[in-house]
Amino acid sequence: MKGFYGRFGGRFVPETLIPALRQLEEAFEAFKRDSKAQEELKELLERYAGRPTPIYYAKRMSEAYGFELYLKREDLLHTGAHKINNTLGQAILTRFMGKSRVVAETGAGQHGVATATVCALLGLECVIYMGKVDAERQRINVERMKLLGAEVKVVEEGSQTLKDAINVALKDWVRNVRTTHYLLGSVVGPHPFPEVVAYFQSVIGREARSYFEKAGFLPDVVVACVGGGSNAIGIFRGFIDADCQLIGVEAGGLSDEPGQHARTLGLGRPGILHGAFSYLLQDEYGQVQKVHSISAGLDYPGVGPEHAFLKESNRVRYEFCRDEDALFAFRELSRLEGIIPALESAHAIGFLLKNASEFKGKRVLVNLSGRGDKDLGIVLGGVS
Amino acid sequence: MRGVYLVAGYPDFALFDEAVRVAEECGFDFLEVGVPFSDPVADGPLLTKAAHTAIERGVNLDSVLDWLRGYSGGMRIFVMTYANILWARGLKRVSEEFAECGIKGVIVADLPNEEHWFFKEHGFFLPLIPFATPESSFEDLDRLSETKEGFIYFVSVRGTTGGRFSLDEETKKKLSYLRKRAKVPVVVGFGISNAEDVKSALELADGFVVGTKAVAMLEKGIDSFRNWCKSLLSVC
Repeated sequence: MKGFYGRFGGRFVPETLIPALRQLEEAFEAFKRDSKAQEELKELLERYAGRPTPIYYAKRMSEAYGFELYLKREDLLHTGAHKINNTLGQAILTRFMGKSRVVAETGAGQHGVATATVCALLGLECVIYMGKVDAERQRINVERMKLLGAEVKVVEEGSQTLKDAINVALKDWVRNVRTTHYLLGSVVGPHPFPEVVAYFQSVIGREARSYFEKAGFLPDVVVACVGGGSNAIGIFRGFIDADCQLIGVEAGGLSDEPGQHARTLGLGRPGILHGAFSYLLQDEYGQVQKVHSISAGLDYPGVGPEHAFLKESNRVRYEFCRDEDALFAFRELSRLEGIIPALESAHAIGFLLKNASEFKGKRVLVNLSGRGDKDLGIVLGGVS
Repeated sequence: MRGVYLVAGYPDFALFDEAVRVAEECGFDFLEVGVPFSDPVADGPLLTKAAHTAIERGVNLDSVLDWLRGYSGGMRIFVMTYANILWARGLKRVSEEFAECGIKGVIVADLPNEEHWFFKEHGFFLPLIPFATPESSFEDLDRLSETKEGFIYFVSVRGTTGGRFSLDEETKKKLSYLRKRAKVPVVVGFGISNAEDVKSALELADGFVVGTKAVAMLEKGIDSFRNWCKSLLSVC
């Protein structure tokens, strides 16, 4: 079925948005056939964003924990995370569709900053929705977005986090659908968003695969953190057909009690939110559950439909990392390698450190999806 | 068709029940019972807040079904909600439960026409009310005019519930195109709040639904609600 990954996906949105989704689908297909537009994106990814990113062998961490740790350094990209791969691509699509205004949601602020950046670059009007809780814990990113010329609208409804920012961004899109593109930041939402975002993020996996092929071996395990799941899909797509174990790490928060974690694939069940049929943390009546993670980027009760499919088809194993283990990894990578990871990416490392014995002697590739400067306030100040 | 939308059990079940009775007395002939959802992406601020309050006060599908089973009035009843509320219940089970209560059809705000198959394939068998919008193509409208049950819900404004009612020329053209061809009534909704709006809606369509304003008036008390219903329907 078109727009589905196995039984997951679809387009569960108000009717008003259907023509805009069809238009996006057409623009996306046209983009894929347009060699000039492809060239423009490639040029921007290289000269503006800083691709390709290196694979770094983390020697001291490897020695300390008994496995070979390779890091895909998306943290080195302009704006500090993998998010810019997608925002550059979708900004070009926005121009393709003749639209001049962009709205986006943001959790940790990384997607918001990456969106504001490309809007500044291409001269597009930009409005970013951010939950009040997130705006408070990621204040520096709010200032960055404003500096880049975006209007930041703080969302005070619901849980005041990423989920609510998406709700309000969708409502803005419904009102302004003719002039506005919704630049969705993860592999979530109605078709074709999960595919569009995966397409633009799959550059991560392509580069990583080619690095290892040149080196003459492949990693045994590929690990990435999963909130909505865009950095994970990005790297997994490079290894899905290879003999590599793939592990997605969700935010384990404080415990498995409802409201204290964001283990959508681990503890949720299928449901419909934000345009897609996927896994969802919900109560018995289908109300979306509160979630918690120390990382604003993973603090989300849903997950991309492709991940739901990869879970049920057993291609990817989904695990979790608690807040405290992510914090430990955050400090450990800083101390041993001189790399301060985003708290999101620290979940992938934290899972490995906690379960180091399982990976003994193995070659492990982690997608280091972002850098952690933005998180110092949370780590040092006890903000959560 | 003169329809009113109310959030089930809001502000509480006693007031909701009384409002339904008042609405019927004043001349409404169909009722949309809103089952609140935590993430209502088609609703404006007022109905979003009402939904959150209702959920906090314990409104859920069980309590709404209890109310529906006890309803003895004469209005036709439709349920309006979001996809996950019905999915979580089980689509076959929930249509059986609604059918037992005499529900005529279901309006699912985040189930566009092209995804109706998903509900049907999972055992949902009550009429799903299809939507037309100012963004619908004439091709869409041709397809919609084949609808055989219930009615067609024309979402008259680009936006969420609670916006202003004003139709541009293009939208009016689409509305009249659809009305000429449709085999079931075409009902306009979103943004209707006063007698003036009702009058212009009835010139263009077979009926209307009023929602946000009804809930806002009920928040002020049953007397305000009654007076507003009377004045609204004075032009019908």
